[in-house]
Amino acid sequence: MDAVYRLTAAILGNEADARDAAQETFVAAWRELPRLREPHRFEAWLQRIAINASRMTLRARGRRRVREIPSSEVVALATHVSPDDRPDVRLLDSALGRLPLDQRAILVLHHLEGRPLEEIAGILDIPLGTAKSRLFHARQALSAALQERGER
Amino acid sequence: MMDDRRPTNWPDDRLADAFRARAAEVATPGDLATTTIERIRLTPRIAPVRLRLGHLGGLAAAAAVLVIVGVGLLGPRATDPGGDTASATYGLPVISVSEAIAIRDSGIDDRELAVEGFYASAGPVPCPAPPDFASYQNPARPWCPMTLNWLMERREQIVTTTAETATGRYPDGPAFNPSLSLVDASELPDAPSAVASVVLIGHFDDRRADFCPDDEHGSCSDTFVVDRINSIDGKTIETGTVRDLSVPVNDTTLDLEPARRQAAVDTLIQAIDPGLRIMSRRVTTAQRLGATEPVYLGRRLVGGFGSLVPDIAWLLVALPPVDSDGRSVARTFVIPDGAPDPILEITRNGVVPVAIAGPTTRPSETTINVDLGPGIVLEVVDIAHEIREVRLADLAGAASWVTRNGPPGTGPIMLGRIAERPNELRVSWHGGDCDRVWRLDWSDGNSLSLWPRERLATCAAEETRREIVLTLDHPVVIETIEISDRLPGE
Repeated sequence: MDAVYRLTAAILGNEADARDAAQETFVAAWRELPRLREPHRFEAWLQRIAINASRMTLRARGRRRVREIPSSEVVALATHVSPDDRPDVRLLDSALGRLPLDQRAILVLHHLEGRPLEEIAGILDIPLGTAKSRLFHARQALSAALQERGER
Repeated sequence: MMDDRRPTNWPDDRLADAFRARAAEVATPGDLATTTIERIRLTPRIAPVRLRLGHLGGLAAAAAVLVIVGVGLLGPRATDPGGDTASATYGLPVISVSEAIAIRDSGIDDRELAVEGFYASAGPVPCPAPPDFASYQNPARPWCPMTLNWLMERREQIVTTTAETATGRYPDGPAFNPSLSLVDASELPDAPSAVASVVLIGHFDDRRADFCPDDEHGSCSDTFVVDRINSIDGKTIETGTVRDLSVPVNDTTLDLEPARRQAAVDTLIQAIDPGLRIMSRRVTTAQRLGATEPVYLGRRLVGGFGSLVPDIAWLLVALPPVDSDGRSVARTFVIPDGAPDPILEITRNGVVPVAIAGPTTRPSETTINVDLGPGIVLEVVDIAHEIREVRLADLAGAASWVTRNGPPGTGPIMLGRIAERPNELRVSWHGGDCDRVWRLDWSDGNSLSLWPRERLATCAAEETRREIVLTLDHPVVIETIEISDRLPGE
């Protein structure tokens, strides 16, 4: 459960959405488990569900005009560490928030989860060449977003 | 790994460190496991697929990973699909209403679902027309009468009638309001007391929800848009065509007639992808296309193809084969009638042209040979792909006839129809034993050519009357059939 939550939190960037997406991931996985054709690829299958759940959560968030802010997030905001405390984290957080979900997902899979491109292609169910191209473009986009935040 | 041309100055290790530090700030909420278990307890599972024995070990391991979310997860569930719902249609497992609701609430996607349940309607009720009525015609937008129709898990009577009153109520069990805007629902019961066992094929998260007002987007996404009524009380329903072709003319209305026949339209869809299975057809005036496709509200049926504005359009929903995950998403095609070739597909991203493999205006021919007598053959070439059977005429019924001139030297050709057999076209002509091979071409839904292809040079046999019956896939109107007055090649 920690691994799934870590993935959805890294992609979505906030606790409430990550929580929703993680829960949806397990509910969907439970329901869809009889359809799992390649049980040895369960982890990749679960991560694909988590990414899809994150996408749906993001879409649903776009539909909601007013989003609930859980109390823990309010506390986190109140006791937030200084912006200078973890500058790379803050920059990355801010830059990722400017990227589309698919780009965030592939960056998270590669740089947080440490997945090689072959595995990413399997998780996302795309050809290896497409995975390479997507990662390249995601890093380009991340670079541009970092530059917008003043980092070079 | 990325090479030196990577587009960010952050090296991989700095990026990875930042990602890890960012993740380290996040802790899994303490109650996530508990709340997830509660959700799962109420979630029925899909009907199981057949598994090869070799998969069972891995599947058990996968299930074990899921069990980590909590002890006791495998306890009693709200419903058990069991074996009764394991049947499939269109490659889709047939699931229950509560299973469909679980999929809807998980918000996964717009995959096609075959849902078994009990259908009831509160009956024919006059619905109030809102001021902006056009926007309410969106099939995904819950509105009267959609909200009066129910697909229920259990057989329930939702309307109680007395001699003077009718009282409606919500179903007690799992249920939702299916949208029937895309299909011919005339065979569903509409009497308030009637309940029918049905299998409906459709989907949630319909793309048309994007045309709903912002504050209704969620409810529109939750609408189950029916693409096909698969069966009613165990009887499989043939995929028909909804005709919406009436146009006002002075003080009355006139039904337009499409140039393309159903078979020709189906052939076009097959040309896009032979694996597509047609779920529903609608032929409508272009002006009313917006009633089912809000992308066309206030927009002409042009789609980037110049000034083409046909009066009629075919709208077809077709289902591709399910993928390796058991998933298939219905595709919607628009075929402007009478236009040369453009086929459009309506997607979440808008209307896009569709590439077709092979010829589109003419499907390949099918030839059927019929023996007219000793050594005499009639070759029937079915260019339109509409002929189901060719046979020598019998004496059944009293036919009505029209007479047309055939090509020079062939004499008159008579076309007949028997009222009780609306799909049969009788063709009668005179030809002697000197004509060894006759050829009949059927094309464009109402065009017929008939001529002797091989004739003996020295022959003086008396002419005899010949009569055959073509059984078509649509009713015949003999008055509108054209007979070519030219021989091929002229």
